[in-house]
Amino acid sequence: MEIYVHAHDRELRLIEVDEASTVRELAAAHGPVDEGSVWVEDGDEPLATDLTLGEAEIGERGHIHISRCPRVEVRVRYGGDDKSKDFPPGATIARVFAWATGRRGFDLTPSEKAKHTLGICDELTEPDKAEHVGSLAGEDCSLCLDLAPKERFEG
Amino acid sequence: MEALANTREAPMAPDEAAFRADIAAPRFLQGVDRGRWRLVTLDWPHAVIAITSAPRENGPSEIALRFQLEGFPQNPTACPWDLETDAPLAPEKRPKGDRAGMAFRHDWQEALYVPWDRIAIEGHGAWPARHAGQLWDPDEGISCYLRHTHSLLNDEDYEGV
Repeated sequence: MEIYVHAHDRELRLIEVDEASTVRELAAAHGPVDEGSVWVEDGDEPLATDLTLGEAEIGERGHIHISRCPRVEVRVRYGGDDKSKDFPPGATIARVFAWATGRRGFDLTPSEKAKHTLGICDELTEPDKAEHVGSLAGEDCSLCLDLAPKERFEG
Repeated sequence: MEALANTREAPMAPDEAAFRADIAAPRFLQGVDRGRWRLVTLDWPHAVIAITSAPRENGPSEIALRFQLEGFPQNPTACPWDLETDAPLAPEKRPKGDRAGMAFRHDWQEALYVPWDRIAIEGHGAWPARHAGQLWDPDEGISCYLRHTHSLLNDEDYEGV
């Protein structure tokens, strides 16, 4: 079977492994791994590395994240204010967007939410909503994002 | 020997080889596996790729683009495409809505009106500075074009066709 492996370098890998493999054996294809450093996409807790892929409920072409950051501190800036929250490294940008625009974030109306997106602070780039925060975080396990208006293409 | 030599296929051009490698790479494949897009046909230098659109009462499940890929990984251009008629998508079948409607405008050239399209960016000198985060990225490859377009077709303000 094949599994997508995300890591800190933004390069997405597709690794072929035997179905009976353990999480440790899968992750080892990427490099040495410590306990507590492998996550399923949008999972809140790290996977025990002695679980088989089946026990960990990782299916064909599922996504895992390997990270040295147990949590990523995500700071979102909006309208001169900012809010922070810790996310697991395998959290997607879509999940951060839901929090940032929701009641515990900046509580945008549905109309305002539709007009905004997340961009990496001071880089102008808009990450894919499927990217993991652990792939975008710096060496200090933090990530800064701007909640900014979507651009219209005119003129 | 000469006859044998003549039957050998010509080596694949670098742009075609680069595109074929790109659509075999994880970044493109994950888009397929996540149900965001699918390759419909590849007849070099053209490829038709269908991009999934958000469900709307009056909307199709996907919008196809016919890419012109000569020079890949230089930025490609794409024309909204009708899979039934194998021709450019008629105005009444084009996506509507604030951002999607502008991107798929028909009163322009046969290309998307977006900064990640070759024809569009060539005709807009101010766009590289104004939309620096929305430009074609050769390192990301065709997934760059596809994910930005997928975002337009899955915006809250996309209204179907």
